[in-house]
Amino acid sequence: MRLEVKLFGPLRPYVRGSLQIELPDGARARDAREAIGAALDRAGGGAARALLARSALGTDDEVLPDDAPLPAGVRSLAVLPPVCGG
Amino acid sequence: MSDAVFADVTDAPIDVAPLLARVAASGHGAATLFVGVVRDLHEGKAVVAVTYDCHVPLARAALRAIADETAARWPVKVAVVHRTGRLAVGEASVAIAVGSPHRAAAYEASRHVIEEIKVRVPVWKEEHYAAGPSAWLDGHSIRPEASGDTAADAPGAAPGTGRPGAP
Repeated sequence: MRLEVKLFGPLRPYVRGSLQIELPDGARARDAREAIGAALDRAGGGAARALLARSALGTDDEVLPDDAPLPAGVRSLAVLPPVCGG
Repeated sequence: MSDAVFADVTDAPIDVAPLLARVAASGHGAATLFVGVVRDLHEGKAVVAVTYDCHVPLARAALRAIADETAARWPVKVAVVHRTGRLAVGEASVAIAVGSPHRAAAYEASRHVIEEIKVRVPVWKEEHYAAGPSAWLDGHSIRPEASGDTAADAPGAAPGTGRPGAP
């Protein structure tokens, strides 16, 4: 499956536009995390890897633990860095 | 979401009067209103504006969850709104109205909501400085595998509760 990766907050400056990753069917969130790290490297955003390690991955409906299978039909993933609302 | 709570994210200026109206009830003897406001100084640097980035669907869901939990823990009605976009100094970034029969629960519940927002809701602040240019602020990891510490989160750490051990 092909997924669009949306970066938020402090991750935004690292990449212009969006990232795309390709994953096999049945992939889990941790597979997506690895693919996003590699895609960041290719896009010249390798310095964002430390931030990626502290970021959650989510769909529009939920945050995904690393061992969670990617939901069927999901088209995009969000990378959510450490939050600071309020 | 129960009738006792209202939670939303908006890109428009926050109007607090409707929030207070939402938490009103004839049996209430107290209503509190907390408003988070953009400040002109951060760590010695003059701030002219703050941009609030946000994952809107997840932020709305997190605000609802916090409001629901709060209304289950205290005898209160809760209405909370978080702003997105670029805000000038003095503009409201978040507003929390709480209505309750008595003031103690209203104050406690209000404090609980803002503290939870800061560590759970997917919102990010980019500060714009008078001396230019801008910087994204660090925050609290919401990765499920994170330990719950703000700065020391690391992959492989024990699953945490999502709450920091200290303020």
